[in-house]
Order: sequence, then C-alpha cells, then structure tokens
Amino acid sequence: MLQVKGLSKNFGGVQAVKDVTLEVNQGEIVGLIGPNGAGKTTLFNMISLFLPSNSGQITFLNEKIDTATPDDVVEKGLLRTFQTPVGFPKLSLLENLMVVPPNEGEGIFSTFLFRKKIIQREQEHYEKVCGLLRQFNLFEKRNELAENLSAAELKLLELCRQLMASPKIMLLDEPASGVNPVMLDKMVQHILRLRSEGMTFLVIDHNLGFIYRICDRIYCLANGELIASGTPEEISNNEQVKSVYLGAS
Amino acid sequence: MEILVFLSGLIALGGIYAMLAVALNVNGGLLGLWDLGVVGYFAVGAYSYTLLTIEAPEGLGLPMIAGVIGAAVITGLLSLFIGYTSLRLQNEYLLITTFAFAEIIRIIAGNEAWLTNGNIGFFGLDKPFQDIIPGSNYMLFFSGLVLLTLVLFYIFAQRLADSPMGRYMRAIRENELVTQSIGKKIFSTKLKVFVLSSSMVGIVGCFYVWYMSIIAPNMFTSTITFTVWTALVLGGIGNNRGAVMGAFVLILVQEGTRFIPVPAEYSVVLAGLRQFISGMMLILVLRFLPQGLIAEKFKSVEKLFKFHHNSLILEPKGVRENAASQGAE
Repeated sequence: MLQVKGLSKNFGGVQAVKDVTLEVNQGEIVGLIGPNGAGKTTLFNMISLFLPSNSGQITFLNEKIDTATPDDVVEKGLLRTFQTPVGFPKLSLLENLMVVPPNEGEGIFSTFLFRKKIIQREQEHYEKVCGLLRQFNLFEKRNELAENLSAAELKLLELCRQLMASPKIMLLDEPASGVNPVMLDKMVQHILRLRSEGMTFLVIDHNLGFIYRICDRIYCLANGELIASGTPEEISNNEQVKSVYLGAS
Repeated sequence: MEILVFLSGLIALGGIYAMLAVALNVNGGLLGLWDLGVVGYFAVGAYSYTLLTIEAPEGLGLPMIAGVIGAAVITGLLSLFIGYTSLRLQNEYLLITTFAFAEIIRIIAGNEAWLTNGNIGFFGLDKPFQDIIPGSNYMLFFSGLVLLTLVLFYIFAQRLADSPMGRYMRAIRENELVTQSIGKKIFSTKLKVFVLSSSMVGIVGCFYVWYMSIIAPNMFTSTITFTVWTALVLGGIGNNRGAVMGAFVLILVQEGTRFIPVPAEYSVVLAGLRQFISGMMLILVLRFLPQGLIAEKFKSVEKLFKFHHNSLILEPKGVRENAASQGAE
C-alpha cells in the first residue's frame, strides 16, 4: 500500500534520514522505533509531504506521491498525527472535528449564497462527528474546548480527527506517550478495532511494550538508517536493536 | 446644536474606526494574520475613490458609487499582490512586510505628483448628498450613513464568523500545521480572506475622504494602523462586538480629553497626554482583561444551526452508546 524507497534527507550537514526503504501493506500495523533523533518524525514529515525529500521515492496506492502537496495526499487517504497533540485549543470538540471534511461552505461567497446547502452539509457532518465521539467516549464533552481535555483524551481526539477525513492509512506519531496504562489499553483496543475494520497503520512510539502488542512488523531506525526489521519477536531479540536502545555492551 | 454637530462628528469618526476594526478583525482576529498594512489599503481605497470621482484632468469624474466600488476593487487587486508575495511569511515577518508595504504606499502617494498631486493632495472634495442636505445638518446625516454602513459591515463579518468558513479560519489561527495535515489549502484561503479584509478597508477609505473632505499623504501615517489594532485588542480580538466597542471607546477617550479645562500653557502637554492615556488603557486592559473588554465567545454548533442531536440519530441514544462502549471494553 505504502512503499518508501531509498528516502534521504539532510539538513545542512546533518543526515537526518539515510536511504530508508520500507513498506506497509493493506491492513497491517507497522511500527517504527528508534532512539531520540533517529529520524522517525522526519521520515513521517517526508511521507506526509510536509518536508521535501532530497532523494528517494514514495509510492502510495501504486502512485508516486513525491511531488504532491500535503492536501493531495490527504485526499488520497494518507493522514498523519503530530507528536504534541494540541489540536485547535480554542475550538470545541465538535468544531475540532467538523472542520475536517471538505466543505463547500468554506468559502467567502458560498457562505452567503448557499446557506441552505451549508446547513444540510453541516447536519451530515454533525451526525458523523457525534457517531465518532460516541465510539471514543467523548460525546459528553462535545461542547468543551479542546484545551480543557487531558493529554490522553487529546490523543483520542487526534484519532477522531483523522477518521473524519476517511483515511486509508494512518500515520500515528507517538500515540502512547503521556497516556496512562488504563487509557493505553483503550487506545490499543481502538487501534485493533479500526484495523479489524480494514484500516492500515504506521506507528511511531517509544513505548516498546505498546509497539510489541499491536504491531505485525517493526522497523528500527538509528541515526537515520534502518538497522533492523521484522516481527516483534525478531526485533525484541535483535542484538543491534538492544545495543541501540541500551547502549553498546 | 453645536454640541450635537460635534457629537455626530465624534460618532462618524468612531464609526469609521469601528469599520476598520471590524474589517481588520476578519483577517487579524479570526484568521490570526499579523497585518500592519491597514493604513496602506486605507490610503489606496481613499486615493482610488478620489481619483475616480474628481473631475478631469486629475481624475475620471465617475459617479460616487462607481468610485466606492472602484476603491474596493483596486484595493483588492493591490492586496492580492501584497498577499501573494508576503502571506507565506509567518507572524512577525508578515508584520514587518505589511508594515513596509503601507509605508511604500504613503511615500508613493507623496512623491508621484502627476497622479496624487504630491504632498498637497486634493481638497474641497464632494460628499454624498451634499446638495440635498443643508450644511449645518450634514454631519448628523453623515454619522447616520457611517452607522448604517457599520451595521452592514458588522452583519457581514458576523455571518462570516458564525459560518463553517469562520470555523475554518479560526482553525487556521489555532494551529496551521494541523489544519494543513487534514488536507486544507491554507495559502489560498489566507489570500482570499486577506483580499476581502483589505477591500473592506478600501471602502472605509471613501468614508474617510468624505469625513475629511481633503486627501493628502500625511493623513495616512502608521498611527492609524496602530489605533485600529489598539481598538481591536482593547475591545477583544476575534470578536466583532469587541472591535466596534473598542474603536468607540478609544475615539471617545482620545477626543473627549479635548474638553478637560486646562490653562492654555498646558494644552500642548495635554495633547501629548492623549497618546499616553490610550497606551495606559491598553496596558490596563491587557493586565486585567487579557481577552479584551468583550472576550471572544464560544458558540455551540448545535445552537448555531439549531441541531437537536437526539432527533438526528435514528437509533435510540442508549443502545448506540452501549454498543459503542462494549466495543471499547
């Protein structure tokens, strides 16, 4: 579904990502681990087209997307989250989600010309949002401002926001960081449920327990290079991965 | 009678600033653009109107309404250029760039004498309906006209703020990166809103010309930009009611201080004190009411569009919730 081939990026003299090749298939949950500064987020930024890559190729649904813009890839169904989930702090949960789907009402002239159509569209989006918020147990807080949510709830909201854009693959950047164990269980269940409904994931996280629990395959990055890949079992027994995380022995 | 004329003059000036504040609120408050070019579009609007309406050889001698429309269009086109070149910049960089553009416009107006008559400008300009309304009552009529237009501006801006477009604009203000990550075309939206806001300022430029009945480059110093921003911050940024209130309070305080009875030798000092007072007001408001006199109010989507969430969902509420929570357990 998503193929990355020989992707590289350097910031001045710093080689942040070096010749990374990876693949995510339909319906898989693929993990991406590595110590701080390994280049995981840079890789994400390149895949979601927030950063131009220096060399290499990104293919999504058999289409080259290297030259696309961030809004193009979203339209194709590739969504990403951010490490720090702030969302839109001064917007309510409802607004946070209702702003996501493409909306004809989001124009200056249409605001005044097609009022009836806009109300109809709003209603459709509203129903979809309410359904989602119920699934994630956030419905009661729908009129609260996003800044009043806890970190874990914000992560859930982040998931909801992506789902509103009807994604085919979701790139999650540290969904488990700052989430307490109980909420983490819920997060795992949500992700597994979505996968059973056919969703594909590429997940970055430092919480290896979490990664081992949900992932089918894992890639390990260190200093911008791919050093290992395989099933959770293979990765957890890989000497090189251990030395990267725990220091060389 | 004299006091009435003075008061209506005050209302007219306050109304003009309130319109500017409402227009600025569209891109400065809702979209969060740090735009210090207000006076530039203001000047372009005023000059366009003047040059379109005064008689040849200086102008084209078009009717007033054509002048107003022309002012909006020309300001819009110019701001399209300014926006296209500078809107990729963020916050303080945008601020510096727009400020520079406003200065450039003023300097051009002062030097291109063939077009703008240089620093002398034009005077004795016509006002709308001045033939019908006697001179002694004119200010009364004019303040009414200003207030009427202000109401139109307000309704327009408020409709925009309450629509999906307003929500989208606030989303960009809150977090540009996330807005981009959900597939929105931010740059083109920014450009559109920027042009809209500038055209609105351009229209207000015509009112300023009518109010002053002269036009000269030194009327368009950056003081106007700062006054409008002060009014907006004072009243409550992101809130149209706040914008209007802030403008009127500021103008009232600035002009009202003319009536403090002081000996003649202190009047110059007092004039200087006026800036001090508005500065002090700003500091106090920011210290004690950081969101302004009227804070931006949150409106529920449900209330705005009169949704009744229970009637929307076909399944009974309880069943759905249970099913969802079971799925999550």
